[in-house]
Amino acid sequence: MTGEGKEPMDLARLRELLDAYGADPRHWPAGERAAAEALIAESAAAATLRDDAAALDMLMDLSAAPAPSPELMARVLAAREPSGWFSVLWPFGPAWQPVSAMAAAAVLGIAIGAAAPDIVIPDYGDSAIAEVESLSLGPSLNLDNGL
Amino acid sequence: MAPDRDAETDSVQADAALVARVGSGDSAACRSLMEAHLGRVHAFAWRMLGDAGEAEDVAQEAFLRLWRQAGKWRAEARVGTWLHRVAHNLCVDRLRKRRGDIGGELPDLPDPALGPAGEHQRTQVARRVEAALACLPERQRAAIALVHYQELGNIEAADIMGVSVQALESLLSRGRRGLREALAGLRDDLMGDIQ
Repeated sequence: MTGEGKEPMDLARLRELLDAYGADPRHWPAGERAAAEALIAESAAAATLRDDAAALDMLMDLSAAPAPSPELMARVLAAREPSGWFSVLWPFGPAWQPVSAMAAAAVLGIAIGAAAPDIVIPDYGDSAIAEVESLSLGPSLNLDNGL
Repeated sequence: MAPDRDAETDSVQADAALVARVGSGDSAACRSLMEAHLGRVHAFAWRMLGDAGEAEDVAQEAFLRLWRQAGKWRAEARVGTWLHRVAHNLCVDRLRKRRGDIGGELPDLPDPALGPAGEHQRTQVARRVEAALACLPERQRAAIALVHYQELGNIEAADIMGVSVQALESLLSRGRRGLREALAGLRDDLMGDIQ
């Protein structure tokens, strides 16, 4: 029953195997499959036992299970549909999609900010500032001319 | 056997990744799991209970438990094995309750007098097979459903039922013997026509 298929199988064990698992080798224990197939290939008595099991298999296989209804499939999926306020805001799929997009945008913004060169403000000197002041305030008084 | 174990481990890990996506709310992962397993779980429940409505209830409940478990899923078993185990336990509970309700009443067997050969005859034989399966003790029926119809390996089937491989083999042998006896007349009379 737990053999590894390295030793030959006898007819008694093959009968047990067929009685339990039927004639389809896919249903047999993996460790005994090769030995059972070898015995059937070389023994007419073994082949007869296999054919007898196959006849019962064929009857059993006439019974086909029904497929699940579309309503069942809908109920199963609906039971896992996201619910709550977030599904109202994002009804298009799992929450990780918009959250990931926002996180990626934030990371990209920080990366660009850190990598960008410093903004250089040109130095126009004091004369330029005085000129701007005179334009906005009018001519300055000169207290040295006696007025 | 090592390649088999490696494949099993890979399958468990792949399932765990898929269930983790379900836990994070991924609808596509839910749909993928449902498409892979719902039909099989429903078929197994139908074999066990013989009633399409009850089978749908069991399949739905098994998936609801999977959805609830998804956030804390541990990569210890394949999803298919886990779902079959849950469905098996749910079916056993229902069968025990049913026995309590109706005193172990057996389903009606279709009239063994069969009509002309063809699809009608094939359907009649199928109903006879299903009735014979329904008459088996529940553990024998579960063993046959898991190994013959669900095509699970003996180790996985034994694990689902919570029995040893030796015990599973004994259940299978007794179950098939019961079917053989129940269907003996059909085998003799009809196999030639069906083949």
